Amino acid sequence: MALGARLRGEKFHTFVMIGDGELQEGMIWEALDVAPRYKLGNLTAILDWNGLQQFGWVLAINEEHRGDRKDPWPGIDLRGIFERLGWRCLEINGHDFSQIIPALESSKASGDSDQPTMIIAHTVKGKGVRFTEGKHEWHSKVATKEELKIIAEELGIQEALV
Amino acid sequence: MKAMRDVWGDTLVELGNSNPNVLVLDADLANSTKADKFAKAHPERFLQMGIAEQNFVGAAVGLASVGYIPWLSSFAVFFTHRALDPIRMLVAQTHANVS
Repeated sequence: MALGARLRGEKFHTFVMIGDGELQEGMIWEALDVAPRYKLGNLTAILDWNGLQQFGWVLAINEEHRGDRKDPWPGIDLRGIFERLGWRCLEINGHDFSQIIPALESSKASGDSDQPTMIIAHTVKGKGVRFTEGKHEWHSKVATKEELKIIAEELGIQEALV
Repeated sequence: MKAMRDVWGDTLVELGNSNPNVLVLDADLANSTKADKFAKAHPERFLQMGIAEQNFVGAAVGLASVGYIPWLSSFAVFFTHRALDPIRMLVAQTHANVS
């Protein structure tokens, strides 16, 4: 779509959300390779790096991590890899709107540049609820009614909305 | 008899002549498939997407979404086997105008 905008001379910006687990898929790396070749400054990818995938790998004994399974990219310098592929990288706390909004604005402002932007958003899976935070099982689990009540309470959401 | 790949290349050129929205995306085989005839006739509408069949299908869907008529050119064995999931998920399910 970003390539189409470039060919058409259209000014819109394309944003794509990708996950850290999903980043293991080969197709994403095909796109990461080709986007800088076409100088797609009008393209921004946001990487939600929450450190957990659906099942993943078990942590080593005494391994420190914000999640209860291994990071999909443990100790790997993804920023360095993206930059060497030709992406402009911004790193933010993905839960902090005072960092999210400027990163999005900076992306749009660089729409005419020849480098796509990668916003690396460091996040915590299940953020804000005691029993879901950093737990891989909540990648694919449905909350019970009782759990929903607690979640609504902890997030300060009115129960009627749940 | 005309070789199949010459028919392919010449047909792509004709399609390009008849409609300015026709694009050809190649997965690094244009000199084997004769899609290079299109590259020569319409260089600004020929997109080399590298040896990356899954992503060239995805890119074609994006191009179709802004009104282009992308044609994907590769060997059947790579195209149908490596890119079957994007063909199903991205092209078939969205009814994108991708050929």
